Amino acid sequence: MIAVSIVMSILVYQWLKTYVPSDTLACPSGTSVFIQDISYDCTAKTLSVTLQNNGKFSVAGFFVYGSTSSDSESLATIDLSSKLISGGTLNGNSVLYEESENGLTPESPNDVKTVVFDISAYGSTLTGIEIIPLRFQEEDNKNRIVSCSDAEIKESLVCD
Amino acid sequence: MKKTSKNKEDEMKGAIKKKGLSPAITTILLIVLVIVIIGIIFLWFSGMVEEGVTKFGKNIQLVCDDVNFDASYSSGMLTVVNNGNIPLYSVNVKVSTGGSFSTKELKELTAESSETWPDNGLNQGKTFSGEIQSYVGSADTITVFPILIGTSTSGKKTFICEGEYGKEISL
Repeated sequence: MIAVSIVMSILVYQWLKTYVPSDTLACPSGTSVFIQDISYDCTAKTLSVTLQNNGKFSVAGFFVYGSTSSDSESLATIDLSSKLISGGTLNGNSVLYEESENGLTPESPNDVKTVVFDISAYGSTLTGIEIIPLRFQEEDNKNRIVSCSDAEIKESLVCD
Repeated sequence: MKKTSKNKEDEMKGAIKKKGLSPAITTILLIVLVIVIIGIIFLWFSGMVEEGVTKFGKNIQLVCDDVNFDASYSSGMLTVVNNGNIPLYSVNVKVSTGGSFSTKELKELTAESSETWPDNGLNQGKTFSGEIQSYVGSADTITVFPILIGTSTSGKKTFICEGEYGKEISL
């Protein structure tokens, strides 16, 4: 009876343990960036985005999406990361300032960085851009990329 | 007289003792009985309790809180963007027309189109657009529910984050 009770209690403990909320993979709440400058050159067919880190934590890069819809409420769904020309490196579908490091720091001079995209495929049809910052964070002794969806920024585009 | 009746009583007790089971057998019987009862209760209870599916060491129901995605529908195309850190294994599309509704998995709906849902799911930052015009028809609303994949004792298992976790799109 004692053995059965012990086994039962272990099983119940293991099962209940999964219901205990634990820390989730998320960016710290002070993470913030803003678009300092944006240049949508429809003649040269380039889009230049200058981000400034105005938060408390360093940022590694971002996910970037474009929109061609005139409706400002519509989702930006065109992944522009593959159109990167300069200013960063392509990592999957994200743009990183430096590989495996949070390159955009809150302190000067690394608090402002510019990336350029080739938007020849879209011409002058892009109407908006959406940026979700990313951070490298250590989780379970692994350096993982964390999406900071709370720090998401949107900007409408007009040809220069 | 008294002596004789006492003797008879002792004899009767002796007879009863001889017919009973030995302590060793009764102990074994009791243990077997308890194990059988526990087994029956366990089988009955396990039928009532859902099998625990975990993801990242947590119950998958709790992981639903961490899912962050957006969905939009335009010109027959449903677009899903995964803004969060939890990969979307798939999504369920619930279409409501008047008082009736039907639900299908987006993977299934786009199985024969040029753009199919990724086999490994929609990872962080990824977007997917699929043509579902024929399924939506003249519906009033579309609700998109994320489907996650976790592990259970019987292997990989999917879990639908229903209710509040759905994204409703009014048409």
